[in-house]
Amino acid sequence: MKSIPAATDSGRSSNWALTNKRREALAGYLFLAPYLVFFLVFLAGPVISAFVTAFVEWELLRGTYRFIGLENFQLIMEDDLFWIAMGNSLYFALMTTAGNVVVALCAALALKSIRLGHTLFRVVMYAPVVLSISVIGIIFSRLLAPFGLLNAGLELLGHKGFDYLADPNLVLPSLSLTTIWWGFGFPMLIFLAALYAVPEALYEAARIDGAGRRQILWRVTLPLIRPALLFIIVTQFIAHIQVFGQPYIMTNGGGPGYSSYTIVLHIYRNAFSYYHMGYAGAMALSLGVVMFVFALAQFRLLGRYTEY
Amino acid sequence: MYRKQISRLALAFMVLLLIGALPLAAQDDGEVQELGTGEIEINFWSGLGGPDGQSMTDLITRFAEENPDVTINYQILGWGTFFDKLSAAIVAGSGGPDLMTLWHSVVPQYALTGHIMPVAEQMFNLGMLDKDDFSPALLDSITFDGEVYPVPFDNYGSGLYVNTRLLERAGISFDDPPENGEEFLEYVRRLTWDANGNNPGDDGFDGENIAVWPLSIGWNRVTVTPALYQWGTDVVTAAPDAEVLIDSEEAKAAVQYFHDLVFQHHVLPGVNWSGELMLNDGLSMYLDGAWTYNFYNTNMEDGQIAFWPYPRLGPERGSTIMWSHTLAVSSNIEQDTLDATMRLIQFLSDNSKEHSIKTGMPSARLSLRTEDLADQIWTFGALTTQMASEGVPEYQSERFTEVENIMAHAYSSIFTGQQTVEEGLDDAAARIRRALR
Repeated sequence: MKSIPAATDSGRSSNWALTNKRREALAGYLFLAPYLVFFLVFLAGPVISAFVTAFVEWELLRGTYRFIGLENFQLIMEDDLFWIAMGNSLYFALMTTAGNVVVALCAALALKSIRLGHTLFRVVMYAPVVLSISVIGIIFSRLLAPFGLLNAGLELLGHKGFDYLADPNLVLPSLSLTTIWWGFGFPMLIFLAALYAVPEALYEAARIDGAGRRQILWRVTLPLIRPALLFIIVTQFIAHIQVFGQPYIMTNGGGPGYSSYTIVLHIYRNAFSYYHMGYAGAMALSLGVVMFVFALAQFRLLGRYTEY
Repeated sequence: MYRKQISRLALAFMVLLLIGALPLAAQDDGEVQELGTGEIEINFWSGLGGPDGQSMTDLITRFAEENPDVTINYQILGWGTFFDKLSAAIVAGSGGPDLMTLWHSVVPQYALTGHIMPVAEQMFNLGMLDKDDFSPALLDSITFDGEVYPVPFDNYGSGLYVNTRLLERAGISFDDPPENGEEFLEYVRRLTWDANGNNPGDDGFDGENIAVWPLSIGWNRVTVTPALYQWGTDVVTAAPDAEVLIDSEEAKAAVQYFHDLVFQHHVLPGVNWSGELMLNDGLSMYLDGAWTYNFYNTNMEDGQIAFWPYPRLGPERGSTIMWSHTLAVSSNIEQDTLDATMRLIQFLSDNSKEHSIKTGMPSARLSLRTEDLADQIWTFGALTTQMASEGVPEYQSERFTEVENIMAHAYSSIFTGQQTVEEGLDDAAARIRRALR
């Protein structure tokens, strides 16, 4: 008979424990709430809205809005500018990502090896990252102009110089170099952190085994910073395929011709200059798919050799 | 201690770098100026910058002083992003302007979609402005369903700025402008010098080492489009039933003329060089719009710079392109604000001669283009005479921004040798047809 109240107590205790858990969960959700609200309003909402937009005809000034299924994607197939812009963006992203990785890694290795002025050089190399693309664009437009500083320097050396931003073959490499100068500071810091994380004992062991500098770099350093390398390659590629400010400011919106016309520029123009919101939404979704596929490929190719 | 000093030095470097960048960042526009203290508020967005913007600000300030019941929230936005911001504001339904400056070419984008009202028609009917005091061709270009929409504020064209010192060196009289395409080409040859002072065709002329270029394209839209008219064609016919003409044989012949200047005669750089070269005698002639008057007027000595009409290059007719900054009013405006806005438009129009004197941009009011202005503004005589007899308003289109971007890229492809004239214009025509579909 006494077991009944005991069972009741136990039941109460169990209910009480559950309530506590619920309370804890509630507190957790309350702590999460501010972020969740921002996430839903400013990230999830726009993403869902953009997804829906890809399937409607939405002409901003005319006020038309109707569901048209996959018609926008059919238009993409016929739009030669989409493919030109996508090709330019891929070329730019591959070139800039590769350049950034090499320059940032070299800078990080150099910074790790020097003792004098380490902090100063680190700040100086990172400094361009804090400038906006407007500032960078204006500065480099002047540097790379036919009568700009760079050609003036070449003229002193007896070379007539180049028309960096007006030559169809030079324009994307020029924008890429500008971007590398602007942005290599961030991957450099990531590489630097990864380099400091490699145990010194491994270098000592390699040196005792008679490894030279090059062997240490290829056999010890690079394998051990592969996670950072993968992170840099994926994030840099995703960032650079979305290049916009550089051609917008430096090449008059993608010139000469369509030599530096990029996919985000094409999306921007269609959305905010021509008011084809639905079509721009479909292109944005397509770009998202391209970025996802490339990121996946990079994980597959590099991830298998990476130990975390 | 040493690390601390280095850190401080690094911090100081960062601060210096940011301070150095501030003047560039500060070039951003869009600040709202509140002019006047009246109860009725007019939100006025203008794309006019530089001396034009200053002149407009002066006029609005005077209006606000003379009309104490009105406050004008005046915002200058760069043309580069003006239409993007304007369209976003219009569609959002709030925060947009009551009054705005629009190029006459883009008026169909806003008139045919019901976002601006036919304020000019209303002002003509109320007797606030005289319809006969404006260029009929210009008014026709902004008339839809029989009603004139915005009020033209100025009316300007393009022509040929010439360095008189270099004309003299070439033995060409300013009173003897080129009369046809061949004569123009001859002038271009005579106004080209290599580093040794030789002209093209002279023995030993070094085309790789040109010291004085004869010509520079300011803006293809300004330079090439008038030539299209001279070959009897255009980019497209007027909205709303636009027909694409840019792939016609006539259009190809007109563009071929400039293509030959670049690639056959090697007297025109294919890229847009700056007219600033004229300041130090590096450039003989510069095809550009009336807005460049102020730059040369400020930076060159009297008599060193002069202005010829747009040269006759094509077989059909002489021509220059005409534009207008118009004053357009939002359809959503309330009645008391509309009344005040019409007063402001009337004031600006009545005082547009003052604007002409300060900026070199002729008034859209024919009665205000008086002869005395030719003595004060050295571009005025040639510009207004040619506009009156040969001026053609630039095409207008409901898709103007898209068509214009397509043409800018096409010209750029052609003049940098990426495409032939045929390929470039055929591609452009296909893209424009797609845009107009």
